[in-house]
Amino acid sequence: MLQKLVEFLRDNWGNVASVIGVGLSLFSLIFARRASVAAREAREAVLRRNLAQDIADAGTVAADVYNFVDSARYDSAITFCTQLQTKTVYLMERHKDRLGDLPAQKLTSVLAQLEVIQKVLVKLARNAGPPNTGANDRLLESCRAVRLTYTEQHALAARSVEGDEK
Amino acid sequence: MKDDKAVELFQKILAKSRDRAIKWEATAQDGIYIASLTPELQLKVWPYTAIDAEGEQTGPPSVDLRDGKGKLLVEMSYRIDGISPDELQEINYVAKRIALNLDDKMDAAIKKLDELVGDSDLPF
Repeated sequence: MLQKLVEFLRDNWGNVASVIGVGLSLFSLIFARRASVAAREAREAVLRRNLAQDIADAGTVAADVYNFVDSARYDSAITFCTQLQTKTVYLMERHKDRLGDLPAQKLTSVLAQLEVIQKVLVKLARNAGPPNTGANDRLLESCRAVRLTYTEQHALAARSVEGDEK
Repeated sequence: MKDDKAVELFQKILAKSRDRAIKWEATAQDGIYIASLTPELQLKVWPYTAIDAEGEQTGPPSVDLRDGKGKLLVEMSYRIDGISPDELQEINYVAKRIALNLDDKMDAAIKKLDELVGDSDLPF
Protein backbone atom coordinates (compact mmCIF):
# COMPACT_ATOMS: atom_id res chain seq x y z
CA MET A 1 0.00 0.00 0.00
CA LEU A 2 2.71 2.44 1.11
CA GLN A 3 4.85 1.37 -1.80
CA LYS A 4 1.99 2.13 -4.22
CA LEU A 5 1.57 5.59 -2.69
CA VAL A 6 5.30 6.28 -3.02
CA GLU A 7 5.22 5.10 -6.65
CA PHE A 8 2.20 7.29 -7.35
CA LEU A 9 3.90 10.32 -5.83
CA ARG A 10 7.11 9.61 -7.73
CA ASP A 11 5.24 9.36 -11.02
CA ASN A 12 2.88 12.29 -10.41
CA TRP A 13 4.76 14.58 -8.04
CA GLY A 14 4.38 17.51 -10.41
CA ASN A 15 0.58 17.22 -10.51
CA VAL A 16 0.34 16.81 -6.73
CA ALA A 17 2.57 19.84 -6.18
CA SER A 18 0.35 21.86 -8.54
CA VAL A 19 -2.80 20.83 -6.70
CA ILE A 20 -1.25 21.74 -3.35
CA GLY A 21 -0.02 25.03 -4.81
CA VAL A 22 -3.49 25.90 -6.10
CA GLY A 23 -4.97 25.02 -2.70
CA LEU A 24 -2.49 27.23 -0.87
CA SER A 25 -3.11 30.09 -3.30
CA LEU A 26 -6.89 29.86 -2.77
CA PHE A 27 -6.36 29.72 0.99
CA SER A 28 -4.21 32.86 1.01
CA LEU A 29 -6.59 34.62 -1.41
CA ILE A 30 -9.53 34.02 0.92
CA PHE A 31 -7.55 35.27 3.91
CA ALA A 32 -6.27 38.30 2.03
CA ARG A 33 -9.83 39.19 0.96
CA ARG A 34 -11.14 38.83 4.51
CA ALA A 35 -8.31 41.01 5.79
CA SER A 36 -9.07 43.63 3.14
CA VAL A 37 -12.80 43.63 4.03
CA ALA A 38 -11.93 43.96 7.71
CA ALA A 39 -9.53 46.84 6.96
CA ARG A 40 -12.20 48.59 4.86
CA GLU A 41 -14.79 48.16 7.62
CA ALA A 42 -12.34 49.51 10.20
CA ARG A 43 -11.62 52.52 7.97
CA GLU A 44 -15.36 53.18 7.51
CA ALA A 45 -15.86 52.98 11.28
CA VAL A 46 -13.10 55.55 11.81
CA LEU A 47 -14.66 57.85 9.19
CA ARG A 48 -18.08 57.50 10.81
CA ARG A 49 -16.45 58.45 14.11
CA ASN A 50 -14.86 61.46 12.37
CA LEU A 51 -18.25 62.45 10.98
CA ALA A 52 -19.76 62.36 14.47
CA GLN A 53 -16.84 64.44 15.75
CA ASP A 54 -17.11 66.99 12.93
CA ILE A 55 -20.84 67.37 13.59
CA ALA A 56 -20.19 67.74 17.32
CA ASP A 57 -17.59 70.47 16.62
CA ALA A 58 -20.01 72.33 14.35
CA GLY A 59 -22.72 71.93 17.02
CA THR A 60 -20.47 73.65 19.57
CA VAL A 61 -20.03 76.60 17.20
CA ALA A 62 -23.80 76.66 16.55
CA ALA A 63 -24.34 76.93 20.32
CA ASP A 64 -21.83 79.82 20.44
CA VAL A 65 -23.71 81.63 17.66
CA TYR A 66 -26.96 81.21 19.59
CA ASN A 67 -25.41 82.45 22.84
CA PHE A 68 -23.82 85.52 21.23
CA VAL A 69 -27.09 86.43 19.50
CA ASP A 70 -28.97 85.90 22.75
CA SER A 71 -26.64 88.31 24.53
CA ALA A 72 -26.84 90.80 21.59
CA ARG A 73 -23.10 90.48 20.80
CA TYR A 74 -23.67 90.56 17.07
CA ASP A 75 -20.05 91.17 16.01
CA SER A 76 -18.90 88.01 17.78
CA ALA A 77 -21.92 86.13 16.42
CA ILE A 78 -20.90 87.10 12.86
CA THR A 79 -17.43 85.60 13.37
CA PHE A 80 -18.85 82.33 14.69
CA CYS A 81 -21.56 82.27 12.02
CA THR A 82 -18.88 82.49 9.32
CA GLN A 83 -16.94 79.72 11.06
CA LEU A 84 -20.07 77.56 11.20
CA GLN A 85 -20.72 78.06 7.48
CA THR A 86 -17.16 76.94 6.73
CA LYS A 87 -17.44 73.92 9.01
CA THR A 88 -20.78 72.94 7.48
CA VAL A 89 -19.45 73.08 3.91
CA TYR A 90 -16.36 71.14 5.02
CA LEU A 91 -18.30 68.32 6.65
CA MET A 92 -20.79 68.12 3.78
CA GLU A 93 -17.93 67.72 1.31
CA ARG A 94 -15.76 65.46 3.44
CA HIS A 95 -18.56 63.09 4.35
CA LYS A 96 -20.56 63.33 1.12
CA ASP A 97 -20.82 59.54 0.74
CA ARG A 98 -21.48 58.81 4.41
CA LEU A 99 -24.20 61.38 4.98
CA GLY A 100 -27.60 60.03 4.06
CA ASP A 101 -29.88 62.04 1.78
CA LEU A 102 -32.00 63.42 4.60
CA PRO A 103 -29.09 64.57 6.82
CA ALA A 104 -27.41 66.12 3.77
CA GLN A 105 -30.66 67.90 2.92
CA LYS A 106 -30.93 69.19 6.48
CA LEU A 107 -27.38 70.53 6.33
CA THR A 108 -28.23 72.25 3.04
CA SER A 109 -31.13 73.93 4.87
CA VAL A 110 -28.76 74.88 7.69
CA LEU A 111 -26.44 76.56 5.16
CA ALA A 112 -29.36 78.53 3.72
CA GLN A 113 -30.46 79.51 7.23
CA LEU A 114 -26.93 80.61 8.12
CA GLU A 115 -26.74 82.78 5.01
CA VAL A 116 -29.84 84.71 6.12
CA ILE A 117 -28.67 84.79 9.77
CA GLN A 118 -25.37 86.27 8.59
CA LYS A 119 -27.18 88.94 6.56
CA VAL A 120 -29.38 89.91 9.52
CA LEU A 121 -26.40 89.96 11.90
CA VAL A 122 -24.44 92.29 9.60
CA LYS A 123 -27.44 94.62 9.48
CA LEU A 124 -27.81 94.53 13.27
CA ALA A 125 -24.10 95.07 13.88
CA ARG A 126 -24.22 98.20 11.68
CA ASN A 127 -27.31 99.63 13.40
CA ALA A 128 -26.63 101.26 16.73
CA GLY A 129 -30.04 100.61 18.27
CA PRO A 130 -31.43 97.28 19.46
CA PRO A 131 -33.52 95.23 16.99
CA ASN A 132 -37.29 95.19 17.31
CA THR A 133 -38.71 92.28 19.29
CA GLY A 134 -40.09 90.45 16.26
CA ALA A 135 -36.78 90.60 14.38
CA ASN A 136 -34.85 89.47 17.44
CA ASP A 137 -37.26 86.57 18.04
CA ARG A 138 -36.96 85.44 14.43
CA LEU A 139 -33.18 85.61 14.59
CA LEU A 140 -33.03 83.68 17.86
CA GLU A 141 -35.53 81.11 16.59
CA SER A 142 -33.47 80.57 13.46
CA CYS A 143 -30.25 80.17 15.49
CA ARG A 144 -32.03 77.75 17.81
CA ALA A 145 -33.24 75.70 14.83
CA VAL A 146 -29.67 75.50 13.48
CA ARG A 147 -28.33 74.42 16.87
CA LEU A 148 -31.06 71.78 17.22
CA THR A 149 -30.35 70.40 13.75
CA TYR A 150 -26.72 69.84 14.77
CA THR A 151 -27.79 68.23 18.05
CA GLU A 152 -30.12 65.90 16.15
CA GLN A 153 -27.53 65.03 13.51
CA HIS A 154 -24.87 64.43 16.14
CA ALA A 155 -27.19 62.04 17.97
CA LEU A 156 -27.79 60.09 14.74
CA ALA A 157 -24.08 59.96 13.91
CA ALA A 158 -23.18 58.92 17.47
CA ARG A 159 -25.79 56.14 17.32
CA SER A 160 -24.19 54.90 14.10
CA VAL A 161 -20.76 54.85 15.81
CA GLU A 162 -22.21 52.96 18.78
CA GLY A 163 -23.62 50.44 16.31
CA ASP A 164 -20.05 49.86 15.06
CA GLU A 165 -18.82 49.25 18.57
CA LYS A 166 -21.43 46.56 19.35
CA MET B 1 -37.57 88.25 -20.72
CA LYS B 2 -38.61 84.87 -22.07
CA ASP B 3 -37.59 81.67 -20.30
CA ASP B 4 -40.02 78.78 -20.75
CA LYS B 5 -38.09 76.42 -18.52
CA ALA B 6 -38.06 78.92 -15.65
CA VAL B 7 -41.82 79.45 -16.08
CA GLU B 8 -42.39 75.68 -16.00
CA LEU B 9 -40.26 75.38 -12.87
CA PHE B 10 -42.08 78.27 -11.21
CA GLN B 11 -45.52 76.84 -11.99
CA LYS B 12 -44.43 73.49 -10.55
CA ILE B 13 -43.16 75.16 -7.37
CA LEU B 14 -46.42 77.09 -7.05
CA ALA B 15 -48.56 73.97 -7.57
CA LYS B 16 -46.53 71.88 -5.11
CA SER B 17 -46.63 74.70 -2.57
CA ARG B 18 -50.41 74.95 -2.88
CA ASP B 19 -50.52 71.17 -2.24
CA ARG B 20 -48.32 71.63 0.86
CA ALA B 21 -45.82 69.23 -0.71
CA ILE B 22 -42.93 71.65 -0.27
CA LYS B 23 -41.81 72.04 3.33
CA TRP B 24 -41.03 75.73 3.47
CA GLU B 25 -39.04 76.92 6.49
CA ALA B 26 -38.93 80.35 8.11
CA THR B 27 -35.57 82.12 8.37
CA ALA B 28 -34.03 84.84 10.50
CA GLN B 29 -35.48 87.49 8.18
CA ASP B 30 -39.15 88.23 7.79
CA GLY B 31 -40.47 87.25 4.37
CA ILE B 32 -37.58 84.98 3.39
CA TYR B 33 -38.46 81.30 3.28
CA ILE B 34 -36.31 78.37 2.26
CA ALA B 35 -36.97 74.77 1.22
CA SER B 36 -34.47 72.07 0.49
CA LEU B 37 -35.48 69.79 -2.40
CA THR B 38 -32.35 67.62 -2.45
CA PRO B 39 -28.91 68.02 -0.86
CA GLU B 40 -27.92 69.82 -4.08
CA LEU B 41 -31.01 71.95 -4.68
CA GLN B 42 -32.75 74.50 -2.53
CA LEU B 43 -35.49 77.07 -3.08
CA LYS B 44 -35.68 80.51 -1.59
CA VAL B 45 -38.58 82.96 -1.57
CA TRP B 46 -37.72 86.64 -1.19
CA PRO B 47 -40.24 89.35 -0.26
CA TYR B 48 -38.87 91.59 -3.02
CA THR B 49 -37.37 91.37 -6.51
CA ALA B 50 -34.25 93.48 -6.04
CA ILE B 51 -32.56 96.06 -3.86
CA ASP B 52 -31.98 99.45 -5.46
CA ALA B 53 -28.97 101.76 -5.16
CA GLU B 54 -30.39 103.31 -1.96
CA GLY B 55 -30.73 99.88 -0.39
CA GLU B 56 -34.53 99.88 -0.72
CA GLN B 57 -36.37 96.68 -1.53
CA THR B 58 -38.21 96.93 -4.82
CA GLY B 59 -40.72 94.86 -6.75
CA PRO B 60 -43.00 91.94 -5.85
CA PRO B 61 -41.67 88.75 -4.22
CA SER B 62 -39.31 86.52 -6.17
CA VAL B 63 -38.19 82.91 -6.00
CA ASP B 64 -34.84 81.41 -6.76
CA LEU B 65 -33.26 78.02 -7.18
CA ARG B 66 -29.82 77.54 -5.65
CA ASP B 67 -27.32 74.76 -5.35
CA GLY B 68 -26.46 73.11 -2.04
CA LYS B 69 -23.86 75.75 -1.19
CA GLY B 70 -26.25 78.63 -1.90
CA LYS B 71 -25.02 79.54 -5.39
CA LEU B 72 -27.78 81.14 -7.46
CA LEU B 73 -28.89 78.94 -10.36
CA VAL B 74 -32.24 80.33 -11.56
CA GLU B 75 -34.05 83.52 -10.61
CA MET B 76 -37.82 83.59 -11.03
CA SER B 77 -39.37 87.04 -10.90
CA TYR B 78 -42.07 89.13 -12.62
CA ARG B 79 -39.44 90.09 -15.18
CA ILE B 80 -39.89 86.69 -16.81
CA ASP B 81 -42.85 86.49 -19.21
CA GLY B 82 -45.45 84.12 -17.80
CA ILE B 83 -44.75 84.80 -14.11
CA SER B 84 -47.20 87.30 -12.68
CA PRO B 85 -46.80 89.48 -9.57
CA ASP B 86 -50.04 87.94 -8.22
CA GLU B 87 -48.60 84.44 -8.46
CA LEU B 88 -45.43 85.62 -6.75
CA GLN B 89 -47.46 87.18 -3.94
CA GLU B 90 -49.37 83.91 -3.64
CA ILE B 91 -46.23 81.78 -3.39
CA ASN B 92 -44.85 84.14 -0.75
CA TYR B 93 -48.06 83.82 1.24
CA VAL B 94 -48.31 80.03 0.85
CA ALA B 95 -44.66 79.63 1.87
CA LYS B 96 -45.31 81.73 4.97
CA ARG B 97 -48.42 79.71 5.76
CA ILE B 98 -46.48 76.44 5.60
CA ALA B 99 -43.33 77.71 7.34
CA LEU B 100 -45.18 79.22 10.27
CA ASN B 101 -47.72 76.41 10.42
CA LEU B 102 -50.48 79.01 10.14
CA ASP B 103 -53.27 76.56 9.24
CA ASP B 104 -52.92 74.71 12.55
CA LYS B 105 -52.64 77.97 14.45
CA MET B 106 -55.76 79.38 12.78
CA ASP B 107 -57.65 76.12 13.48
CA ALA B 108 -56.64 76.36 17.14
CA ALA B 109 -57.77 79.99 17.26
CA ILE B 110 -61.10 79.15 15.59
CA LYS B 111 -61.63 76.28 18.07
CA LYS B 112 -60.84 78.52 21.02
CA LEU B 113 -63.20 81.22 19.71
CA ASP B 114 -65.98 78.63 19.34
CA GLU B 115 -65.54 77.72 23.00
CA LEU B 116 -65.85 81.30 24.22
CA VAL B 117 -69.26 82.09 25.62
CA GLY B 118 -70.76 85.53 25.16
CA ASP B 119 -74.06 87.15 26.14
CA SER B 120 -75.79 86.05 22.95
CA ASP B 121 -74.93 82.41 23.72
CA LEU B 122 -76.76 82.44 27.06
CA PRO B 123 -80.17 80.71 26.94
CA PHE B 124 -81.94 83.45 28.96
